[in-house]
Amino acid sequence: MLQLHCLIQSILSIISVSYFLIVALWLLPQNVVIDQLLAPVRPFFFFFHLDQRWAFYAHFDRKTNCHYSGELTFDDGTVMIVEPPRLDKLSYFEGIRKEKSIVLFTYYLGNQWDYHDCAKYLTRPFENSLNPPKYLSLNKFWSDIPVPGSNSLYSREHPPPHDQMTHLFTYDLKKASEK
Amino acid sequence: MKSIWLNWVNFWFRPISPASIGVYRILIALFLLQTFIFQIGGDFLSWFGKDSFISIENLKHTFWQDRPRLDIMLLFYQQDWAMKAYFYSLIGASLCLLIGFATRFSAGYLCLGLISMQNHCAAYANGGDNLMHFATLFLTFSAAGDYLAVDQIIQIKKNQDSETIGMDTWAQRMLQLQLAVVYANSFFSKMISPTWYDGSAVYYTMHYEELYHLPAFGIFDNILICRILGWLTLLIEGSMFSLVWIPRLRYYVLGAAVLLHLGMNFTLNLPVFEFVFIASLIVFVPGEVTDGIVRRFAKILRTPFLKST
Repeated sequence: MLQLHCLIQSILSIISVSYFLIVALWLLPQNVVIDQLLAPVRPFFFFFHLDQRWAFYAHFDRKTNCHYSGELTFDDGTVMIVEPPRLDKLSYFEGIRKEKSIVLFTYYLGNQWDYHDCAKYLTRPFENSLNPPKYLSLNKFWSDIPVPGSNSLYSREHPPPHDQMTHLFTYDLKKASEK
Repeated sequence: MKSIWLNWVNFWFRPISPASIGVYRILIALFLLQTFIFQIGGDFLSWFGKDSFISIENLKHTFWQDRPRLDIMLLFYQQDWAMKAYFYSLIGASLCLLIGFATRFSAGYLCLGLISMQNHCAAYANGGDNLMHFATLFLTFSAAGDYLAVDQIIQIKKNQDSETIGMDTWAQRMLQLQLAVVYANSFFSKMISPTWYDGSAVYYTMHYEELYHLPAFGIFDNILICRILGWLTLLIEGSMFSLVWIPRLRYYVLGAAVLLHLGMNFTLNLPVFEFVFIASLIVFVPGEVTDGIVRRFAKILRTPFLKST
């Protein structure tokens, strides 16, 4: 029994040392040597989502705020405004509930989340076989965050209006559905 | 050499009270239920169904970079009813974890579920969700079912002894070290960024409109205050992987970390995220202390449950 305990404790010790060694290598700045060392375990770590990065807000280059607004044109020519969830337009509890989809638009759109998926998501509630949506034109409205210490008229509680616009894409829904 | 091994065994395997890990289990289960029911609930199929936000093709190519990933939902994501059934099973497992019924199985099942959810739609998960997946992984091997749990009652009725090989302690130590790794990574990543010294990191983060929570009465418009808050963040995160191991300083460090996370929760709309971190700090508190606090609470609430266990 004692031998079995020793064996289990030895195995658990090897697991813990190996695990934290790999995690430490994973989190260090990457170079060729670390890359080679991690090569055998990388597929395993990715498979079980043991890969990790905890650099909360350590690196950021965004100095703007934005929101998105789309014009959805239907087959009969009518136009409708569609908007992804916006924190400033939601109630307190809805803002908490929709936090993940707000983040999806802010961080992922145009980055890892492609326009095709975004267009499909925004237009899905308006699918109608009698009058199907035809085009979605999505715009990004944004403004710079006032530079720190600039004595701006604006503040955190009263941010500047999003008065700049960038056209992101016009998506042909009919063509996409034919593909 | 022998004394090193003895110290090692003492650190990793010396039996400890399961109170802290038991309370941690309850808190993690509550946060999982909050995430599943309140945050994901009605939108589950939008996140994970066949017509999800992120198409499976984009997922495989962009997020997975065509590498194999564990994703149980891929087995049945084409059928909405099967996806819903799987989602309800995860809620059921969270309830089991909450009451401590089949604790290890529930934690393991949830761990696989959370890995699948994060692999299926990485965009849904933030740092708090990631930490919960590690929490369920280590809870699977812990004695979380030995405190305030149905499993504990069953064990007492069957007159069974809990295992004594020390895996319970090992699991709690793994959680402590995992948490230390989290803070260490966060600390060193910030240390190499000049924005954390000049206050602009705090300033810009607090001005992101998608993160607004409660009004801060202009304090984040003052760059000097932002600078001081940035330094305090570094100090607390630095202490959370170093000074926290010194028993004399531990409670001061944990108290400061609680204040940091409460402050962030007050100002940033990050539901669950900060509370998962606050809850996780309990793994650093000795079980006897946690047990004392729980008993005091139970006395106030006149709960008879603890008398019988």
